[in-house]
Amino acid sequence: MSFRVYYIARPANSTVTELDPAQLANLREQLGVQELLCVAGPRYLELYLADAPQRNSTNGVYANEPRAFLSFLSEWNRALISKATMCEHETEKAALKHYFRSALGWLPDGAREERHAGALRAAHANAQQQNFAGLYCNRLYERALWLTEKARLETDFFAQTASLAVTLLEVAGKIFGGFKNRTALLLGNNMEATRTAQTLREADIGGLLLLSKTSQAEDYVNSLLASAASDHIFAPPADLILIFETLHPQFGDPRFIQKLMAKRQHAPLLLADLTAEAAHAAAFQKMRNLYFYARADLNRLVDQNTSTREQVESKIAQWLESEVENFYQWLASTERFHFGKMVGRSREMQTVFELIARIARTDITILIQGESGTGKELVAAAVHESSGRARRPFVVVNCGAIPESLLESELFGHVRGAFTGAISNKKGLFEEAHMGTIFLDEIGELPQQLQVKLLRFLQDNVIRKVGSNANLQLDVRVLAATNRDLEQMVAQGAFRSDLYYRLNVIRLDLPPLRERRDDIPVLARYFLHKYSERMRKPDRELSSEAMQKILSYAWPGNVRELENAMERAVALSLEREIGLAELPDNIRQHTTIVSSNHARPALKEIEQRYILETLEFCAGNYDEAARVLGIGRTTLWRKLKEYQAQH
Amino acid sequence: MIPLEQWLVTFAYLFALAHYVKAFREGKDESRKRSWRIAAVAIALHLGYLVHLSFTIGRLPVTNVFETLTACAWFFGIAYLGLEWRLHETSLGLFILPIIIVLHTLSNLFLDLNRALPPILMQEFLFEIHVVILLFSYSAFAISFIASLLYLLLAREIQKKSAGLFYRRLPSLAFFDALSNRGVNIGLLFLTLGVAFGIYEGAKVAEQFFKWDAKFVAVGLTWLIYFFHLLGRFKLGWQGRRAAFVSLLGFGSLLFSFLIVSLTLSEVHHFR
Repeated sequence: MSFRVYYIARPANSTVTELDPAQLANLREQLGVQELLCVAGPRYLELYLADAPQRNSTNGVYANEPRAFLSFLSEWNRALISKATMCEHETEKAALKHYFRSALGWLPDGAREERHAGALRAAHANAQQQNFAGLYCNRLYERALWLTEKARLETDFFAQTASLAVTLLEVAGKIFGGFKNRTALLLGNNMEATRTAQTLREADIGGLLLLSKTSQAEDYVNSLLASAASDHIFAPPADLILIFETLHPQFGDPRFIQKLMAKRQHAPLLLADLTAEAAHAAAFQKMRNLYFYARADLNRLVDQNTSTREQVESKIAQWLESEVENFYQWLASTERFHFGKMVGRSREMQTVFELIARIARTDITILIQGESGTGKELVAAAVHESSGRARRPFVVVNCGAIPESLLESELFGHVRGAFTGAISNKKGLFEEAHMGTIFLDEIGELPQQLQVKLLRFLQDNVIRKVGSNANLQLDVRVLAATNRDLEQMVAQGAFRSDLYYRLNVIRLDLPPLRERRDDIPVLARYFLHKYSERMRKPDRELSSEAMQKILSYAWPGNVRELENAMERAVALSLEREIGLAELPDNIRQHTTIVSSNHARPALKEIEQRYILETLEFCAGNYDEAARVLGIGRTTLWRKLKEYQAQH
Repeated sequence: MIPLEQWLVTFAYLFALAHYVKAFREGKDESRKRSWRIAAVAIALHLGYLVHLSFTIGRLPVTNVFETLTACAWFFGIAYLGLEWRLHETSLGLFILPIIIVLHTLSNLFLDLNRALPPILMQEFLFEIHVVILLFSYSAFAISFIASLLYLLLAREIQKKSAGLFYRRLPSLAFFDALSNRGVNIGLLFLTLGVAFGIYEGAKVAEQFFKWDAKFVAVGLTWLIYFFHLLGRFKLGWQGRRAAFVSLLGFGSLLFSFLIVSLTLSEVHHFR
């Protein structure tokens, strides 16, 4: 794979220009890359380009020269990088590392910007919508999410802050606990003052008084002094006094502060003088319940935080290294087509895998819909295995396989004497699955009366055993699957609509095998290997005719049918190569290429399928694919673009 | 059996303390929960020991200073355990456990099971109530003492302007200030009640009850200090450092009247 990143520092006052999807599509075309990720962070604009191997620098639009790239970009869209001059460039491992850093909000200059990590997430969401993000980006994103979680849970990486305003807030927090009943007085009219005011507001401070002009400060001091004479308090007595600019000399005067303290009955006060000319520190130090911080003190605290941060950062840097290594290992392995016990390299299955990875850790109910043999149970198992419940029970119930009369007591259990033959209490499968996952296959077969009970469980997490009056509170994640069209069943009244909507929080559609032919070779190879091993035969391979046959077959029984066919083929085979003879009759004898929609596909459709398959066969290497197909690179590119436009 | 149990309790507390130190250094929620559980086990063991002791001597173990010491340690433990359960704050445990360990060990060293009960205590049941109420008040004062100590420690770190371990782990000054204040108020209430009980009961038992005895003077002084704290907070608006110092002073006076005076100086309030 070739992976590279161009990153451009934005000038401090430049506005963030978001690229709309159409622009992104255009940019991708201009660059001629497979996968493009455009991260518009607040301080950096990053463009990640990922490609199949041996494709770098052949396009000519972008080269290794970042300057040329920058000028290309500014030519392409002037507004995007109006004032930028600096553009850096990383490739391969360095670029991967850059990516993972960005995912943590850790900028190239060492600063941290959480918003940058947010921009990266947004970019991924965008790219996925546009189908710009393929295998590589998805894998990277999955790993980045993992890494972020690890950093959050195992280190203080995100907790440690190093800005002056936040450190100031931290000190104040140590004194006052919460800020709800506190008042802050800010003096000054610079960036820092406004930023600190913003931070304080975000911390929910009770009162905030911002004096930005000398006259205002004078008024404040006068009213304080006037009311000091009488006992009547007029000016609000602040708990935090933060001086950003010397608006009034009184605030640096220990005698004035002493008066102020006396007025507040010596309640704790944080006085921070962030101007350069802070003096009288020793005098302030002596005052009871007064905490005085000069700029230097705060800077020292910031530095201290920074040094502990550096330790954490070196640890994270190690993780980044191993993450990059990991990625290369993944590239080299076929593991990237595996998820749980499922195998699939098609975009459809990769999307399914990714969805599973994303939602597994939640407790959301998932409805898995797919034809028979598409691996619904494997999806459920994968969800369970990747969730936090992996060590807890995973209970599979085929609702269609248990007689209706028994189903209720099977699922929910019964108490002794609930019906004839109930001689003892029985735990139901829901109870067995406590803390774990229950997978209800063929949910469409569930009788109406049980649908109500299931709905009640989904809403309140309680079940009631047959014959019992007591509610039983359980923690079970429900996964359901069906090969019937539930929506239609709802319309017909055979399935309760409220249950349907409750189950259908997230729906996972498993495409039939005929709609993801890319997966056929991978799956075939996987099953051949599996059964060769099981039958203690040397690894079998498909001959090219046999491969042609299985690629064009419609597979009504989906993956299960393919698995059975491969098992049979291995069992029958005498040689290393499996020919047509070992395939089942129905597969061998079919002659037409069966499409899901038409009985006979158009020539164009076959051409498209063949080109895409060849491209997959060459692992995305366009040069080789063009050579195998006997057409020019540009022709291939034009055709591919055409297919892209169709989708 | 008794000596073995005594030391078992001590070791259980030491074990809990080790975990509190670890939890404080690591600052993780998980180790905090674990140390709480270990402390709870230690306190349960301690309760078992106290029950056994009661059966051995035939009275609640509050009839002399050394029995009272271990009972007092147990009350501190229970009070703290409840506090941590409510507030999720470990730092106090780090300081209260050593106090518990010292009190309990002192009791271990000097407890004499074979001494005869002073005749004055033979029948009075009110005496136990008097002591238990006072133990309540001591626990509250102990919490207040620790809170004040931590207040001063944290205030020093903030003033020093360096982010040390205490700065990073402890909650805020306001937290300790409020806790210390509440401890004193509750403690003072129970102290007043307990002393009132004591006077009532003493007047019933002894011919001429009140003398200018060291114990009465010391307790009176303690009460005054804490009352002064109350007054200072309500009337003079004391906060923070000054209130913390008064709380420390009060607790010192309390320990003095409880240990030194009861053992050596007092003639009347004498139950060795």
